[in-house]
Amino acid sequence: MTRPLLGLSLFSILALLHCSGPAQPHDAAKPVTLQFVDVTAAAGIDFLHRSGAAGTKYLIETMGSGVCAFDYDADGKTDLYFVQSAPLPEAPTDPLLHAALYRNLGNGKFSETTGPAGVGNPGRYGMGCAAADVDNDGDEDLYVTNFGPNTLYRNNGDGTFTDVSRQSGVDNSLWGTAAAFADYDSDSDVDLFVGNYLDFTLAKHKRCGDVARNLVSYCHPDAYESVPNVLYRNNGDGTFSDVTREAGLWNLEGKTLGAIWTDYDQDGDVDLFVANDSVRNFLYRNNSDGTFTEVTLESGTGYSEEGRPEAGMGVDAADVDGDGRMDLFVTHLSNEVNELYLNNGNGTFTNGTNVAGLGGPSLLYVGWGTAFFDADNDVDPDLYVTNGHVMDDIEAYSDFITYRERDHLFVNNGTGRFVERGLAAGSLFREQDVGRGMTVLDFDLDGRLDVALTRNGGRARLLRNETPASNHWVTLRLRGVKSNRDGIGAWITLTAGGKRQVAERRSGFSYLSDSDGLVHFGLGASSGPVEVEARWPSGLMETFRAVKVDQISTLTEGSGVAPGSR
Amino acid sequence: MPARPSRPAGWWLVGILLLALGCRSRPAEAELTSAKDRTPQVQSLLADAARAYQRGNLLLTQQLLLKAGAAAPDDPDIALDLGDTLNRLQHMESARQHYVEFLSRHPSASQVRLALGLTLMGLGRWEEAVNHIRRVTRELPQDQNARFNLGIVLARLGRTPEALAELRRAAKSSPPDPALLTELGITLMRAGEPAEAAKTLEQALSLDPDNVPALFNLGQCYGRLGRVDEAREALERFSLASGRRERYIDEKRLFRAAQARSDSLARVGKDEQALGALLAYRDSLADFPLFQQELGVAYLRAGRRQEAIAAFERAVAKDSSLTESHAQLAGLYQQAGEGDKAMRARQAAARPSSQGPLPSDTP
Repeated sequence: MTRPLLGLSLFSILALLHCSGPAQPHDAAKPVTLQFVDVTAAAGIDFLHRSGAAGTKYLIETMGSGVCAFDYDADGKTDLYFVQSAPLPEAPTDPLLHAALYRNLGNGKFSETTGPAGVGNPGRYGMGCAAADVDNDGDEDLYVTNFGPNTLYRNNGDGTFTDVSRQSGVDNSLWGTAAAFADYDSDSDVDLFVGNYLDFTLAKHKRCGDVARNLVSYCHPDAYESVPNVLYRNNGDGTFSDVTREAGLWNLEGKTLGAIWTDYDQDGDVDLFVANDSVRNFLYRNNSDGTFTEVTLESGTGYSEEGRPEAGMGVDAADVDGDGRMDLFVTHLSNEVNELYLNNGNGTFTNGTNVAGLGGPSLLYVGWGTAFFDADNDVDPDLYVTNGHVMDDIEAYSDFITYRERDHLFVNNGTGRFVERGLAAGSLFREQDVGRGMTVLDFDLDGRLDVALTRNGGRARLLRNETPASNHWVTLRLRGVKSNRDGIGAWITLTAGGKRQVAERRSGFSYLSDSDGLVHFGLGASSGPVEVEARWPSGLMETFRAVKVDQISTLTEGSGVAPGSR
Repeated sequence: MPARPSRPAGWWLVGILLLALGCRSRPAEAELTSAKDRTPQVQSLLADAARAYQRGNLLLTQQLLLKAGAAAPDDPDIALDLGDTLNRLQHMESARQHYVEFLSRHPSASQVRLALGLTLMGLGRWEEAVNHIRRVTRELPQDQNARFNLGIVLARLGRTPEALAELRRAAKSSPPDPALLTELGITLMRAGEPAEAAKTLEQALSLDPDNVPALFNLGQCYGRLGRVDEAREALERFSLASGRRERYIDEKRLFRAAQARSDSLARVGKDEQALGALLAYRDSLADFPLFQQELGVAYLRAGRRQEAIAAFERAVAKDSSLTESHAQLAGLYQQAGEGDKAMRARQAAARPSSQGPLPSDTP
């Protein structure tokens, strides 16, 4: 049969469709009983994200916002902070529009305490957040990225915060997105990486869309130049210094939306992975001397399997395949797939998306917030991805992609292969919405990790994990002594039931979000004994024996025993 | 004494009989038609569609192909072109339905089935895609294109050993093809065979030195094999080739924006403004051949023939496969009394075009 007309080749359709990765694993998945119940209203959470959209289609409108889980009042119960946007010129002004801090009352309910706490971030167009004890004074401080100067709230230790953005020197005024704390220079206090997105201001707004059909749409990020990210070194006196250039992180090619600190090469210091939108990602190896080397190309983490830069959004890292190394995961736009980079342990990564079964289910979705967590405590990390398209008029361009999308819940079958089981896991997964931020916390302290979500232009959600609780678990709260007080950057190896698992204490991940800072392990049927080895940012390595099962334990640096000692 | 058929066996025989009768009563598949069966009206519609396509007007292409398809409903080539156009318009679900409808009348139209399989891939319906494409490989065992695509979809499904088998068979039976070798190389890497993967990717690059996926994966491959210097060199080549491709994609996106703006003005008769809309992109798209062609058309509409000639000449100088530019130049040279040049342009316009389609824009 000849093709006399247009000469379109079937080979070329593949390139056109960007078909780069589907898949249900070939082998059968284990039985799954994950259950998540939407308890937003019952918990007293009533946060409505308002983007300020009024038809002009400023790009910022469709990007927010994030959520942080952190224990601001140090009462042992994780609280929630939802980032809010702000009115835009054409939108009706709402002077009361503000971010929201919800205090966990411990009875399944939360109470909004934004005003008394003083963390409303009013008048600022908020994007994301991260929490850490930046001054090592025993309470969690809060950093908020904005479209415009960012905000650092110092926790006063009495339930209130003080805005110290300017005096601390971290009020970066670009379009801030991801924020992540870690002690990159091992000087016992946490430093701060801030991702910036685009060189965009309201004055630089461009009209995009389909002129022929008079459709005004959100612009592709290619319409704007990139801007550099910033690394702030904590000076230990309440101030920070911008050390981006001397640390080797000055890069004008990034359009950053996601960032995570992780010791991918296990050399005892934290490295940095940055997800960029429509340009390559960055992987920076920490040289252990205050500088970094970009190793993106040789590591294979910057591109799709076809060598194409993708629209990176949210990120997480975990040991997906049980080999004791941190693997990387990045969420992407539709017609791309979310990518899983499996760590080979020699500085390189293998694209494991297809083999893991994570490609196909994500092909038509725009993924944002994401987290690996052992949702069923069966000794492997499962995966949550919250979805929703960028363009609120995507249906005018496509007959198979929608603006509102359902979230995905992937169950790990124990070998690093995943099966999407959201539809069976609760009513929220059958809803179509516009997902953005996402985090993990155990708000009811039952050892089953719960999920908090933000929606662009919609209501935040809290999902309680009600998976039948037959498996055991351990949750660790770290207390640094020589290291930063949060123990951020600590590498934890847990052994129980003959299985070893690894995890890191981090601050900042997913999309514009942060998790509760506790290190959680599912133990499966094993009820112990549990041994934990901690490698602290200070370099101290120690072992904690007989860690209690099915409860939260605090590991204080220096209170363990030397590894190998009896 | 032979045993009498038992009752259940008797029912079984009745079932077979009924099935046979059912098969016999199924309407015969309509006969496929081909290019020689096309009426002048269909041929004219297809010629208009080809022109609309080359000018990037996919909506008009779709309309014309719909009309042609209605007039020649059993022509698989028209069905394929309409499906392709729908896919490029990001109407993949419509394309899928269109192919399914055609196949319901012509289940033996293997190329249409393959196109359906590829569309299902784009829709993330991978298992269904495997079923359709595998059927094509059975119907057309010599079609290595189908086998190649089967290998791709199996690889995407993470079924690496099966994918490898299909890709190896396709590679063995086809002339060396860089796309096929690249996919085979990537799959070999995934299968944990970096040495063979490297050889395969090197072969792909000997045929297409700027093959971005091959360069990227070869760099990774060398890295895994500890061939550090070669890895560095391959990745440097990848960076250069990737940069060129990114530039092309940026220019294409910009071109689409310029074209849309200009078209909307031309459609309401504002030819000078339409030309002005294009000229606003003159500097940033100077090296983009399709932009020069579009500029030539706009100059013609505005009655500025000399500038039109110059623009078309720039277009074919940058891309000699732009048949519309050659055709326009033939007419313009003829009008200017430059017979030799007109003849050469006509010959160039008649040459089969090697110009691949512009990738569709991601909104």
